[in-house]
Amino acid sequence: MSTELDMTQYLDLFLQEAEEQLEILEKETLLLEKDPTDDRMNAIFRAAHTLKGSGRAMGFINLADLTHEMENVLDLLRSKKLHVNTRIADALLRCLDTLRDATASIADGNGDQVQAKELIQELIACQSPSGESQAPSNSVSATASSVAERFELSLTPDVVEALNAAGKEQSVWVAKVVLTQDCVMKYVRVFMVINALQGGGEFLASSPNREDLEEEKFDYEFALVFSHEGAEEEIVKSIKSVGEIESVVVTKWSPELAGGEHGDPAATSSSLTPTPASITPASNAEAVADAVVETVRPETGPAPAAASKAAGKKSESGQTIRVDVARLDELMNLVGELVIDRTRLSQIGATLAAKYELDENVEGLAETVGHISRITADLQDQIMKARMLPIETVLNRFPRMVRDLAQKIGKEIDLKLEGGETELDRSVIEVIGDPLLHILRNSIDHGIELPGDRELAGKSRAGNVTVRARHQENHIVIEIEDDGRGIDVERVKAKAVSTGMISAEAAERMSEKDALQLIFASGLSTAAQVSEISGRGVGMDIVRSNLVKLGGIIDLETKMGEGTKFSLRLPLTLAIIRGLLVRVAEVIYVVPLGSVIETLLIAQDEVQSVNGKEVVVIRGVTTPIVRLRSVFGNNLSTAEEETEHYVVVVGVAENRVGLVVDKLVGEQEVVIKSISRFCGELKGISGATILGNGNVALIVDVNGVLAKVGS
Amino acid sequence: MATNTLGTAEEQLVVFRLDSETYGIDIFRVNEIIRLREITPIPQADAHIRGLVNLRGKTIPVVDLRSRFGLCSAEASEHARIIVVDTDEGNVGVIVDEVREVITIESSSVEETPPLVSGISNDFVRGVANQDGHLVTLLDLDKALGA
Repeated sequence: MSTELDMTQYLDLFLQEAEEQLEILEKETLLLEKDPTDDRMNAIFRAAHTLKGSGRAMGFINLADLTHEMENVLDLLRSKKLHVNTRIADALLRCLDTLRDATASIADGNGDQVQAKELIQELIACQSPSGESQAPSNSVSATASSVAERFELSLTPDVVEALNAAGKEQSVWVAKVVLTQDCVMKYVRVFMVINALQGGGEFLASSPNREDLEEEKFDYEFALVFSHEGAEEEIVKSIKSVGEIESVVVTKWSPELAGGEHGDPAATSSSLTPTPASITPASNAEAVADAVVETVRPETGPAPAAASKAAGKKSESGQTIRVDVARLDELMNLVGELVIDRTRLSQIGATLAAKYELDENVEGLAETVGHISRITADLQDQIMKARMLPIETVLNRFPRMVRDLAQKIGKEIDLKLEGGETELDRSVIEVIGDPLLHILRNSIDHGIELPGDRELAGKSRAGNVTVRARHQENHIVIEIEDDGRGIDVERVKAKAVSTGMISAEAAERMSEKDALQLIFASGLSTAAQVSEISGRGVGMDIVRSNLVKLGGIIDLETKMGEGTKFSLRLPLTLAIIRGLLVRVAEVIYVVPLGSVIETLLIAQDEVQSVNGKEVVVIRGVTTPIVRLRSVFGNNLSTAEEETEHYVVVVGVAENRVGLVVDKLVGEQEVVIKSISRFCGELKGISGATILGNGNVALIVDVNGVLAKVGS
Repeated sequence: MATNTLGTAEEQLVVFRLDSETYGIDIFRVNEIIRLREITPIPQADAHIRGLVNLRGKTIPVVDLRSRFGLCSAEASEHARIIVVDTDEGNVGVIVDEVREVITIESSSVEETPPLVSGISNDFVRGVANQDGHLVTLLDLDKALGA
């Protein structure tokens, strides 16, 4: 990071990687509490280490300091010097939050502006097995020492070997020295340090090597390896006597200090375990305070781990590349245009074929158009697949939320996520998170009982909540199931009556299924008490309306005392739909085929009036009809009396409505384009598309039309 | 706004005709000028939004300034164009009767609008400029579009 430019160039990459590592951290840390396996701890360690490394490379010191301290804790966990408890898990999760804040702040261009000091102290305190707070007495020296600690040795393998041999015969030390920033003649200082040490011992090696030191080819940090008879304090004292020295860290030599770049990572990893005497957690905290750290540097541990990870990544990199989402969207757009032109081509082809039936070129054209159609379809398919993401990306947010929520309201929750690999389009991924989260919170807050109550009911103390995703035809089905108390249908009815939503008689007649749909109505909550989490009666109605907007369906089943299951059914993509083209007052509209049940032609005298609303009876079922001319008719003349009407019967959940249109035009795949916000909010229109002839057509929002008609 | 060699501020305007009036808009807000094409009406949108057009695979709203300015509507002539301008909400098309020219004026020559000189509400106007004896009404584009 020699210049500003260099950094910004890598910032995006850094943020992307940070996001990935944070996700790993979150996922694994949550599981750590329940199931502290070695693999898991290593995974967390690696993630923290990677973050530290890239953070430091980008110059985000706060971030690096925090992850460094996380590493220290994790290292103790790995080596079983510490055991996972709630305090540690909490601290790690708080680190995660802080790191997220830090990356968010970095993304906003404000650098890693976070207050990590308190958290770092908590982490240091966590490192003491008793859990007592042992905050460093002098935070300045702690930072200074951490600068020194971060400096990694670079020694050639043969030097390392020689040092190892020497280490067996005499006490060999490593001194990492940081010079003050205003130090002018750096080599003089180095020379003086070496001289100061000659009194009690002998200079063995340095990093960088002596030559580079002499030519001052180093910043402000360097390390010396030497033999010395004296004790650590004595050495530190003699080095510090030199002056213009910011900080010194003296460590007993051990081969790992040479860093992980040399030798086989697998072989080195066996020597990762700290030497028993060196790393007692209490001394660690103390040592930081004194700027004399006699521990095996945690840095040495992760290097081989990182190396093996890098190797793993290397093998993957042949098969996957990162692509900017915007580029994928642009590709999707282009394919969309191609789809439009394909449609246009086949229309022209058909016209020409009718006109020049005998021309041999017509056959060639038809063939080519057919081929282009197939290729376009394949291309579209492939691009769609490239935009697919596993639903995991949404689900992985939940464990943390569930843990925090459960802790807060004193419930125990066993959350299971199934089918996380199920893929769906980015456009859907982006919008389903919130509705799912809402349902989940509801299940936990209202559904699952308190542990004591569950035991009384003969259930396990921990409530089971399962989120399950799977494909079903061209849809994705997501179920959220709990084994809680279930929904009391009678109470829902009573509540609906008391709020004046329905009359007592209507409640009486209402089927269980219909009554359950009431919970999606606005202003209805059966929670006895309004809590911070849910119960205000807003929410489920928003959940449903959001889902319906996406062309989704939500359903629920419940059994008193046994639990509740919400099922969501959503299209795999929001980018392309099959639509029925209809004409209303000379304008073409697209009705999403997904909500079309049937189309029929009815005679005017079949239209009856009930309560001032027009209905027709279709196979014994009374179906209300809506004239689109009057719905979409700001400037459009109302339909003149016709003897026959084309009716498109659309259905949303149990509701059926017939849309009266002037003409049915055809069926076609359309690419959904959003309508500029400039046009304001349009009820009854969900988007636009471009037809084969290049004209724009509006897509009918069936729910919007229903709502408009209903009101 | 730019500065010329003499150090006086200048601006370039795209000048168009609407009805019998001449208007100017800042050239830096203009993206392109396209021929009039099929406009799909949007039910329930504000009256001055004529509808959507297809601009190379994207749909953009088109504003009818005649309706916005309270002028009577007229048959589109062959000179009619859509000026595509940038707004905070993305591209928006503006239907005009004719695009005349691009002119450079000195910013200091822009005068306050005398009341009701242009026949349209002064809310939409940020001043008038005298161009060789002709008055050009400078539009406040965002207000004129109702963005």
